[in-house]
Amino acid sequence: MARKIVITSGKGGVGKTTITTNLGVALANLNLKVLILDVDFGLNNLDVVMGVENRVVYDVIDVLKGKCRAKQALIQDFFNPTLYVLPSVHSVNNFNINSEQINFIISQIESMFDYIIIDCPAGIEVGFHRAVKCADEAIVVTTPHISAIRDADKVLSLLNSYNLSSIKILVNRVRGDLILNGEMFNENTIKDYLNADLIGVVPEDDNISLALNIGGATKNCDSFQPFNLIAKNLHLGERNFYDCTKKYKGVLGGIRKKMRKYV
Amino acid sequence: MELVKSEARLKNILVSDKEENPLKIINVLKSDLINTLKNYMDVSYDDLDVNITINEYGQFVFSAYLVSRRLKNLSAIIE
Repeated sequence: MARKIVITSGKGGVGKTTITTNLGVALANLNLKVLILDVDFGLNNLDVVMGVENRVVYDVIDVLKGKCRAKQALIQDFFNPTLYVLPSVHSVNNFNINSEQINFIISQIESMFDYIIIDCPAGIEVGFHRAVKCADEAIVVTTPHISAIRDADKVLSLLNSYNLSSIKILVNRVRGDLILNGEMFNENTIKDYLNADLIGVVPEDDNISLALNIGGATKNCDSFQPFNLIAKNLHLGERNFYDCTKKYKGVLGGIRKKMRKYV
Repeated sequence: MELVKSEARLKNILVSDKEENPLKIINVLKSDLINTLKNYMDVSYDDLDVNITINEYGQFVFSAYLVSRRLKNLSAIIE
C-alpha cells in the first residue's frame, strides 16, 4: 500500500506545487516509486512545473470516461525512472469529479507505488476537501508570513476533522538573513503557534524559482538539499531540518547578509 | 522590535480566528468600560487599550491599560 500524502496550504502561492514536485523527486532519489497526482482541476500546473506538459496524452478525466486505463495516463519522468505524474486535466473541462472517483483511480495504481503525493488546490472549498479525502496523511505548506500562517492554522483545524494518520507543517521560502536580523519568524516560532509537527524547512532560493520556468526539480545540488532532508524525515523518520541561517553566519556570511540587504 | 510587534499581531489574529472573534467582543467591552470609567475620570476611546489573549493553559487573560489626564472629584461622584 502506498502512503498517500496531500500537500495543502489554504493560501495560494506558498509553493505547494513546487514542494510537491521537489519532494516527489527527492523521494524518487531514495529509489522509491512515487506518483505525483494533480487534483487541482481548476488551475492545474503540475504538468508545467514537472516539465511534462507536452507529453500529456491522457488525463484523469480520460481515465474516468473510460478512454484509457489509469496506468496509461501515467507519465514517467525523464530523469527519475521511479517517478510518475498523473495530470489532472489537459484542457479546460467542466467535468465534475468527486473524491470517490479519484479514489477509484488511485485504487487501480496504488500497488505500483510507495508514495502518492497529491497536489491540492488552494483554498478550503470543494477542491480542498476532495483532495484531503483521498489522502491518509497531510503536509501543510506555509511561509513565514502572517497571512500564510493564519491560513495554515485554519487548514490545520479543518484537517483535524479528517481521519488522517499524520498532519505536519512545512515552512517554505524562509530567509535566513531576515531571521538573523530578527525580521522574520523562524520555523520554531511558526511550529509553536500552529501547534503542529514540523517536517521540513525550505529557504527562499532563486534556483528553485528558476527551475519552475525550466520544468522539473531544481538541478542545483545545494538548493535541493532541503528536499533531500524532508524526504528522509518523511520516509526514514529522521528529524533533520535545513538551517536557512547557516550561509549568513561567520565573516563571509555577514558580508553575504549585508549584500542581500543592500544590493 | 518589529518581529515582536508582528508576533503579537499574529497571536491576536490566531486567537480571534479561533475563539468566536474576540476582536468584536473587545470592541463592545471597550465601549462598556469607557461608559463606566467616564464617571470616574476623563477617558477617550483611544486612551483605553483592551486585550484578551489565551495563556498556556487555554484560559482567557483579560488586560486593560488606561492613561487618564484627570480623575473626577470624588465627592461629586458620591453625590
